[in-house]
Amino acid sequence: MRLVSRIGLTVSLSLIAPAAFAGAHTWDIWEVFSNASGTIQFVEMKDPIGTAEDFIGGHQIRGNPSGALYTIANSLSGATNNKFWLVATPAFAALPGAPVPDEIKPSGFLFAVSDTSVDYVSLDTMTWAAGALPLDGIHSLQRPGMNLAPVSVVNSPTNFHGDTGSVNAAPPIPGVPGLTVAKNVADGSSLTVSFNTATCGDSNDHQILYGQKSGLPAALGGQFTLLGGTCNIGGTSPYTWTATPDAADGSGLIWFLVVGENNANKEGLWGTQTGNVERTGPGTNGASNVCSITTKDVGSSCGN
Amino acid sequence: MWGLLLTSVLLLGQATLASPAGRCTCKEPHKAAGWCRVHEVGYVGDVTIRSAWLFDAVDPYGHDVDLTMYPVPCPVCLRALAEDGFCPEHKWGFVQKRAYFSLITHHLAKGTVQPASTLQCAVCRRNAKGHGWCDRHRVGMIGSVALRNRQEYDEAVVADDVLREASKIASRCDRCAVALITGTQCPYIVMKDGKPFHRDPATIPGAQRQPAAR
Repeated sequence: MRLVSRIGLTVSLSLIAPAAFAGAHTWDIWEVFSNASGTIQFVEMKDPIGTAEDFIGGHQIRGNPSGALYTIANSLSGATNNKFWLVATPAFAALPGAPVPDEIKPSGFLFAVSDTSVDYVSLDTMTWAAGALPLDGIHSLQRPGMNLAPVSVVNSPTNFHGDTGSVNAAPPIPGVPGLTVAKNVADGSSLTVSFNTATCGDSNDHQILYGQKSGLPAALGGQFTLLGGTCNIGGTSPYTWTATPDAADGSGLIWFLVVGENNANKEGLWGTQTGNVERTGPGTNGASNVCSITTKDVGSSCGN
Repeated sequence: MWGLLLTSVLLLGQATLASPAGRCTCKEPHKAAGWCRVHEVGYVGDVTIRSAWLFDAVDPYGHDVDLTMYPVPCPVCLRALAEDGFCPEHKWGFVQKRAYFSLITHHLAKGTVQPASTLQCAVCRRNAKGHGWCDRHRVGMIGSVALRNRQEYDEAVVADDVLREASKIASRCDRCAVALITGTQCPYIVMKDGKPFHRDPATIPGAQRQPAAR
């Protein structure tokens, strides 16, 4: 059988000339980020496999099931292999640490905080389980590789020029008002600790910080010295605190407080003492330095 | 010998080209795929495509994948990579380690490009004007692509039909046409029993038709 003539071969070979068809189909939704209110958001795409996929103008990004839609305004110029592209809300662009977005959606959300997927319409979809999108203002959902399910990581937006950064859009951690305590056993080795999370809209994790008499400051405004902490007691009150610590200084006196914390090494306000002065521990901004805490958020005025 | 040489150099990945700017290539012998920049029309197999977005999504060029940077994500994809197969979940097909993002171009990439003018068999020549199987030469033509495996050819024809339908749909809605190929969401058209099924927008809560992109 000779289906192909030598003339045919010549014709066919002559067609092999390098020319590129610029497309846009290899971009993947790579990272999505939102704070709890949805005002601070970004969607990052990545082209992990293409080379000249720069005609993205006119394509759309859509949140599902909300249907929130953004139409990409501009195509790109230049090679796209392993490049990123970033669209964000104005409030994101105004944050310290944010790279300049390639495009900004002037109003409205890029996606709803209750959405469970974001499409690069008709070409790629990033999907996650309901409730899996972090809304703490620190973490995002990011793909670890092509076609892989996204995982929660500290946000790392990157624009087409390769500028990258990270933003902190976490709301300030408030104080924890309304602390009350009741003994569960006569010797106080188990206590029921109650606190108010409603007043300040506090959805944080919490921990109990404690010390003994000798750790109290020598003078008003002085620093508290801690014995330790009972970490990650959760976000709901009351908490049954069992095996409470004993004082080692012979005083028989243990003092404690409940603070919020964001699971990113930052705790909230301790509350003020006489003179409206925030109580302080030995760490940065007066943080406790226990339970892996390295700093205290003093940005809230609620609950102190 | 010539046939072997042709096979080695004219795999779809190397032969799918956009025409040089300013020169119409519509009347040139159709390759396996190509795009005429002058008239903004593309050809894939025996289907004419007037949507650049659809032509792009069909992925006639294929892509080299850096497997060190991006490991192939699933066992089916891995098997496809090893066996020149297709992963229906991720819509990845592989031919000689090159990735294709649609079923039709995955199938076509397994063939060889043989324009009708080069075919000596009348049946094969007729087939190359659309598609068809020649029992005598045991070769199926889809446009200018020759497939010698009957099962491969039959599967390619099904994918070719989907592409033809997508090309029709593209005149009304580019994104819907692309969704048909990529298997992503389109509220108006879904695949049902392997064929496109047009839904009445009136039956889709909250549906609002997107304008055609071009």
